Amino acid sequence: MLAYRQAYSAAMQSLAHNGLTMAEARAQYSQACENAAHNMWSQVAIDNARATYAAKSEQIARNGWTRQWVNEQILKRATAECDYYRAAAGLPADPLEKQPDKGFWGNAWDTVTGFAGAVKDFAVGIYDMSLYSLIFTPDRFVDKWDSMVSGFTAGVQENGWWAQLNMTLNPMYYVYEAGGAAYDAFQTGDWHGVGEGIFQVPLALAGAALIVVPTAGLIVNAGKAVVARLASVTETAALMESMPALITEAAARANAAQLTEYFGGVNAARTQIAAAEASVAAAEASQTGILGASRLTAVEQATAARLQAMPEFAGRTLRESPHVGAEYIDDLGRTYDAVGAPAASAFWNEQEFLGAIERHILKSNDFTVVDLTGFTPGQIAVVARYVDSLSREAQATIVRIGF
Amino acid sequence: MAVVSVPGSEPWVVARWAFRLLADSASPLLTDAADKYILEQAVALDGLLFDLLDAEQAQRLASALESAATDLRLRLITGPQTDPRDAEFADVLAVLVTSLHDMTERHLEIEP
Repeated sequence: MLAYRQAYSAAMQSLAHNGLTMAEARAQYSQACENAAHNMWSQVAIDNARATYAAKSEQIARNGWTRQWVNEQILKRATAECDYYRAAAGLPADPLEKQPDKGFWGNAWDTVTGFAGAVKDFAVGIYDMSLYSLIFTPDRFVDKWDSMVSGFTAGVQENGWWAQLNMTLNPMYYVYEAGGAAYDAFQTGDWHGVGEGIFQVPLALAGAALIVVPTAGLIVNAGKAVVARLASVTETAALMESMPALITEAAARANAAQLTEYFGGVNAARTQIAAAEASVAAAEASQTGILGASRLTAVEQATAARLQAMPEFAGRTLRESPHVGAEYIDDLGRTYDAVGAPAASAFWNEQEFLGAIERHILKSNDFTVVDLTGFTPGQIAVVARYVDSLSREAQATIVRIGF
Repeated sequence: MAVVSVPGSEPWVVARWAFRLLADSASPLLTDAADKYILEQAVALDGLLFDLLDAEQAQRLASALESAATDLRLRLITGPQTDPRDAEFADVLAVLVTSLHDMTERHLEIEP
């Protein structure tokens, strides 16, 4: 029923918009419906055709051919719908005709069924468009979208793009349609239609609010942003105007020279700071090795520090060896050779390095400390394989660091 | 520790600081860049193994080390004795000088 009323309402308004009074439009619509109901060869049809021809001639004279053609197209479509609904529901052609009063309870029942029907139609409409429908009832899904697309296409042909887009996308149009239908239903005593309106009007209002309120918010915020931007531009322009004239080239060069001098000083200071930090780091490194050592390099001090950090040498105190044949000596009198330095990785020669380890082991110091810190994984693997290949006794004298 | 391995002699093993002193003295006596590199490498790898070098290069390095060791030994003996290790170092330098001299002599004998 809603579709019928919407079609009727749209047809009436279109006809009125195209030069007919509402009364003429309503009369033509009713006549078109009557014509459709009779045999076209009947006398009534002939009379009606003559009357229609006369009326049309008068309208063409008043509106011109273009508007008349549009009116006929609208009437043609509305008539088809009118026939369908009249045949289906046995209703009068003119939905604005007063409905027979069914009494309080009859009207109340119509209202309830109208409301329930509207809820059902809404739910079915949502279902038909949904993914659920696509999966379980694809034929209904296709029909729904096909009818929507067809309706939109026909609407575009009839109303033009802008009008149809407005009717499709403008939420207030749905409020207008639902409100108009509800009002017509109330006026004609169609309590079924009133029941439909009780559901549809709030629904349309809610939908409109959901769209209009955020959209309004966006528009307001966009407006604020534009205003703020314009204000910023104005402020910047004012600031630019208030600035003093551009400095001369000579002054700019002088400023640049000052800046260069300043940053040169900063860079020099940074270099000095870096050197001081390196000195502090070296001093700290020496503090972590052997205190008071006079002939050990930073690398040898670092190896001593790593040696002292090993659990098996915990509690031992290392000092610089008093003899030329060893690097370190501990508080138990045990002597240590150190082999391996970061420079060895850079000057890598496998034969020479392994040969040096071999000859160290042959010497009579208690431990040979092989420190591979900073060596490449490949170099470490080579040395590890070599040490593993030595006798158990020889391995017992080797302290592995950085393996 | 650093080791100098001379064919026909026991490995000469001293603390790194001692080998660095010797290498620093010998380096100015070398003119070939490859020889200088070998000496730098020896300091980095804690060892100079003469049996891994070709005969000519080994001779040049042995000659330079022998001269440097002799000079260094003399300086250690005649200089102020501030560290007891210096005297010990002078003694072991004498051993190295002997080993290097023997190797050079053998080489000269082999030469036609």
